[in-house]
Amino acid sequence: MKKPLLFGLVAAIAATGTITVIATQDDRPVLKVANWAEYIDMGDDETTKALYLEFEEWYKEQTGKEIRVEYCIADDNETLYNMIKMGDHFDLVCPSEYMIMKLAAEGRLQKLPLSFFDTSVETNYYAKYVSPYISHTFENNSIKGSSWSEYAAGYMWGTTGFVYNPKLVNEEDMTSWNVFTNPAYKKKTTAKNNVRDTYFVGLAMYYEEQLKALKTQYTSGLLAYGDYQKELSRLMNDTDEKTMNNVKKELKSITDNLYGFETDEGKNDMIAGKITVNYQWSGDAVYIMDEAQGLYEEEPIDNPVFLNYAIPETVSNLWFDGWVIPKDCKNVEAATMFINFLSMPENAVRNMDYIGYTSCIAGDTVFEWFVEKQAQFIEEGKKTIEYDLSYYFGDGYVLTAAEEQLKRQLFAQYPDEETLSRCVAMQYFDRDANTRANLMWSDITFF
Amino acid sequence: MTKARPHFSRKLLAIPYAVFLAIFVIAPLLIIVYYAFTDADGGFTFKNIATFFSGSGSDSFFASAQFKTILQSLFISFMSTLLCLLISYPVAYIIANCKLKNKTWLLMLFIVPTWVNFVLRINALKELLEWIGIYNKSNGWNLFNTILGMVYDFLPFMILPIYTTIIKIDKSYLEAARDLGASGAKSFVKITLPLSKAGIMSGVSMVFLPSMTNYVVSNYMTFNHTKIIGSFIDECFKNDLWNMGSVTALLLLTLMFLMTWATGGFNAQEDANRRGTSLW
Repeated sequence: MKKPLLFGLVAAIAATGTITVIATQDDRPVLKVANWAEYIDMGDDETTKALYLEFEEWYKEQTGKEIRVEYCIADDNETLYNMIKMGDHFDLVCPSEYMIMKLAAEGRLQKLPLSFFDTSVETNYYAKYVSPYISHTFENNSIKGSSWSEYAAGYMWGTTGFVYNPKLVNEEDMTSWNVFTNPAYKKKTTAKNNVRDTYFVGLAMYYEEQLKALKTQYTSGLLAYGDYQKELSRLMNDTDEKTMNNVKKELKSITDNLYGFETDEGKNDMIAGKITVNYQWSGDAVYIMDEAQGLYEEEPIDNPVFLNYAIPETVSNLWFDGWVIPKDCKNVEAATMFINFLSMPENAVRNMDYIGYTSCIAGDTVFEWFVEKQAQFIEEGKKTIEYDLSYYFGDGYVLTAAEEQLKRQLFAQYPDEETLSRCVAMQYFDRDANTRANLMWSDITFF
Repeated sequence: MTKARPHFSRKLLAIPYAVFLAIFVIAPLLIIVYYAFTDADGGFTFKNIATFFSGSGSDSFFASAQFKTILQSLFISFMSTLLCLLISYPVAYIIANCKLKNKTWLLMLFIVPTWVNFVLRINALKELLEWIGIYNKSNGWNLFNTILGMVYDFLPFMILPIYTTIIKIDKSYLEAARDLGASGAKSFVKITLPLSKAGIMSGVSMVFLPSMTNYVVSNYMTFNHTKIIGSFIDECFKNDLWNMGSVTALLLLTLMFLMTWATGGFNAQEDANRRGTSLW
């Protein structure tokens, strides 16, 4: 008995020894950041490095102190939540709006320091450059009495809608949620493989008449913008037991018609033409459209496919990913500086270029980058339009773009103000609703 | 120094496994039991079991997702196991009785495919079905494809144990039966089949339980259309319903235990161990 024990001890001592050695090699304080995969500029290996590594240098320049960023990848909001709940320590994480609300409501987050919003400080890039549209939205949505902006700094945002091939569909169908039940697209449409995004679809189908009536009221001026948003939000966050049963019926009617439920596979299936309609997040929609027309290739490709993006006429989902600081963060200063570093317009542009999603940061640099990106689509002899982005960048920011871009990257990346008036965010499900929603979700694929 | 050498007992060799068992099997099981009987705040409760059996929404338990998932999983498992058995037994029998000098090579034909990553193989099968045109056609085809995927994946696990029992059957029993006038079919039914029961049982248990929970197969083969009990548990844990997920896992465990017990699986295993023919 003694020998193995002794051997084990030696092995254990040897092991701890190695760990200490590694630790002494790099004793810089750590900032542990969690983000989604492919959700930050990783640099081009030559002149630029991954942004989180460049942050280390910038931080030293600013403060004279060393820092090491431990950059972790989380699969999805649910995994991230489970990690935080299990006690994993993070200094800064980037969940979506509903998970931010859930984490905040459960007391797992700390509020952003007031100094973070002081625009007189040179390096407070977030406060200085965040889009007025984003800051307005963040102030008007609340979690248990506190506004989103007290907890979260926006990173990327977007809508959900349909990517489709205009040559293979009737474009008018793409403005209705009924595309999912439309026999013309049997086994040619995909939905998202998660309960929340699909529940939203079911709600939109179930409340179709009410949503149409609300829209008529709004467009005829009987309903103010704020009230319209409030009503939409109420309907699209209805988790009442009776509603959920009805939504289940709606969703049961779509499963047979669907090609399937996907998370990432849909991108390739859409580009390859296996499906003709893909319910998608706007950022991935941009990626799909870019890829299908060969924008990432050095030479123009032989048979570019031009895909469009549409947001249904009645309602759609508005989503955000934002930086929040968990309760056990030990270095709030570094965490807020990390947010500010990513909010420098140059870095926001680098991220947008790399990821394809739309940054919450506005400002001239971002606008000019976008003007340049749009300029490549303008062809001689083709009609152009003036696209008003003043709601997002501030007064006077109007962009010239190719007309067809109204249905493509332009619209997916920066939807117009009118479209956004019918987009609402989805709250998190409370415990009871979460149980019911998941049972419903398991049930909808049964015959 | 006339100290006695430390006594080395063969039992000591079991320590690594015992430690492994305690950390990676028993401890997680206890955690599952803990979550199954506590609520989200950590208080003791039977409510999770009650919720599981109380149906969902306006549906009673027998119309609920939970019940349908169990039923569908049982059906998929049963059909997969049956098909595996029907395919494997003749194959194992033929390999075991063939006159070839080196049977190992023949057996390898069935085992080598398992060396290729299983997700890759399932993906390849998916592409093949898509090409044939039966992928994701309807609910019926989805069920069929899931079963096909399971059979494809678990076939070697059925062939191997059956093969090892058949090859160890004493040929003199069969010769004696022939001498006494039994036909080939009769000696098979009276001798080979009963003596290979242990192999069948261990094959069945190797296929039945995994095909109830291997949701990678059902997800890939049906583009997330067909739900089995494994996918149900997975989604519970993913969506912050750990207690519900744990209860389901525990119920599945109980179900499997009861089925093994009812079919005499434990006895067959003992027989096999006694005769030293059990491979698994």
